[in-house]
Amino acid sequence: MTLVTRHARPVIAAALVLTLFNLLVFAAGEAPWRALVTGLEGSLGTAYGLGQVLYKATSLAIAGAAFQVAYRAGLFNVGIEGQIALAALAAGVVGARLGWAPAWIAVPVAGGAAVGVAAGWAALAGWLRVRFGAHEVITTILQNRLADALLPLALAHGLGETGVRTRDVAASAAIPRLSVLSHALAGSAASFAVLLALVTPWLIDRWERRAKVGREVGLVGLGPEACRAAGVPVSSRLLVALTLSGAVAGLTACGAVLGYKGHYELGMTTGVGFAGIAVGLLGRGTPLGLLAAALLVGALQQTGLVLNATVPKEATDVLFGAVILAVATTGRREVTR
Amino acid sequence: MSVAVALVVETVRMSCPYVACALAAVVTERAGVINVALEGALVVSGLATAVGALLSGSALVGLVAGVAAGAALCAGHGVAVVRGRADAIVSSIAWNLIAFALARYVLRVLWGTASSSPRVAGFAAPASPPLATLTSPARLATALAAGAVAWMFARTRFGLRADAAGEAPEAARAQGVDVARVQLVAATVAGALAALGGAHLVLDQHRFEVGMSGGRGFLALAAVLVGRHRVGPTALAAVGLAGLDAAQIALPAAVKLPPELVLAVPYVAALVIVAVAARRQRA
Repeated sequence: MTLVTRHARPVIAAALVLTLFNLLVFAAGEAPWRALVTGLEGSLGTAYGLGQVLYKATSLAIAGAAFQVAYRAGLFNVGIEGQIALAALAAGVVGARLGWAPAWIAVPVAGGAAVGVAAGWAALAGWLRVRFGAHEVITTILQNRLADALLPLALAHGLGETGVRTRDVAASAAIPRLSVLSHALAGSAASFAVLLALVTPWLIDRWERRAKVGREVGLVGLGPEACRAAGVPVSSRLLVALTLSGAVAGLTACGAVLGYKGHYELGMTTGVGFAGIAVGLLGRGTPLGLLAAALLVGALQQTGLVLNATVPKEATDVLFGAVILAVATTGRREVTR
Repeated sequence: MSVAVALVVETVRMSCPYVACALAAVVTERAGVINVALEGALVVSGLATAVGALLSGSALVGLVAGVAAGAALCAGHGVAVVRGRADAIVSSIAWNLIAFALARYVLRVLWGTASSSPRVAGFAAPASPPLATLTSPARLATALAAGAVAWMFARTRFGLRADAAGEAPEAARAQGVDVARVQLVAATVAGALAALGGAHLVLDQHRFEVGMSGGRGFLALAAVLVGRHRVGPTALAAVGLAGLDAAQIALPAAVKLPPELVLAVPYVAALVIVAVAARRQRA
């Protein structure tokens, strides 16, 4: 590839994404420039809008971190979507039964239930991978569909208040909203779960650099054959990576169930897992990159919601897919795996 | 109609999207382009079939539009992977996302709803119900396509080149094969094949719904593992998956089971199948 085409690629990609934005907005009968201004005002121009962006970014950053943990080991956890949904159900079910407990017990227990369920669900894919060699992309996709079928089953048979939602979680299991800090954020969904989004990627990064197991997970991703020859227990490290990825995905449920809704209902986490995969890819393996990507995608989604009356909000998802493609085709090869 | 006959008829009816996607996966994977966006191809082809049929009033135009849309999506994937050097899984995830979002977007722009299109007439049935099941155009096209794909890999130069491009791209290149071109063509053909399944869903159920593909594009990948990328066994395995679907419709009436539990059966079965097939391959 010549020097010119290499530098032209990102420019071409950006131009294509921008053209696509114009087309999508125009086809819906709205003026692109006005849509952009209205959308940005509604998402980044008000305290409420910023709070909403922060809420979305919280989930996205944690889900992105979950994807990166597995990706470091050379594994694709496409099952984050289902892991989050099952975790959210667990947080709702357990959280509703903690009325007797003070907050310092209730929040960690409800969160722990979410993390445990998601980790177990991801570990199944890990076990199928190391025991049978079943590719995790296919098994995690199938597990997503399976979770979709199991959630209504669980809600309808004992775990739900109605067929579509759980009971409200106990007051002590709720994570306080950020609106206690400032009235400007009143009504926004952002909660102190945002701290999880700040700490989790950083902790994982530390673990991958400093801990023996964490380092080995990264090495397995670079070259499983060499690791096997050097005596690194490859299977065990793959299992650890996928299980930890699921556990982190489970944390995502804390912001949504304990910090915002106060219960689990069908479909409330839809799309977070897949968006999280994209955030994980855009983040380029650093905690700061991850947070920046999460804020960017969160702002994009909130912009889409603001415009929803005139331009279908799905337009932002189309754009989002185009951005992933643009990044995937212009990215440096050595970083991708 | 007895349960057994209903089961067979339903299996034939449901097999079209499975077989179409399984054939598509065989073609694209043998050429060396992994594609897990066949679910997305089902969605956009179904959408384009509905839009084409409703705007033109002709089911045939719908079918052609659907096939073109499926081919376009997978060609896009092929370009991203082969020319853009994107990771095939990442590109697939992006195209699936685009397909689902685009379907909802178009539904809302055209018909003001994100769930389902107006009624699509479909082809006029030339025969009475049980027989009509066997003679729908999309279904016939899929059956013909299965034969054509088998013939392509066994007898044609392109089939040989596609296998070479997938098995040993360097060697193929040394022999003067334009590997990138072969892979792009294979990826596009795969999209057109999968699209037969999407078009069939719409013309058979007389409407387009965003969730109507129901994971069949993913389940078909399990059939490919079982069939080890050979056309005949893969197509048979795909028909087997359709049998599970048919049992879902025929069985709950006979045995009292919660419908949600029955919904989970194909995925559990597919997980087991994938594990068993993978172990056999490894041994």
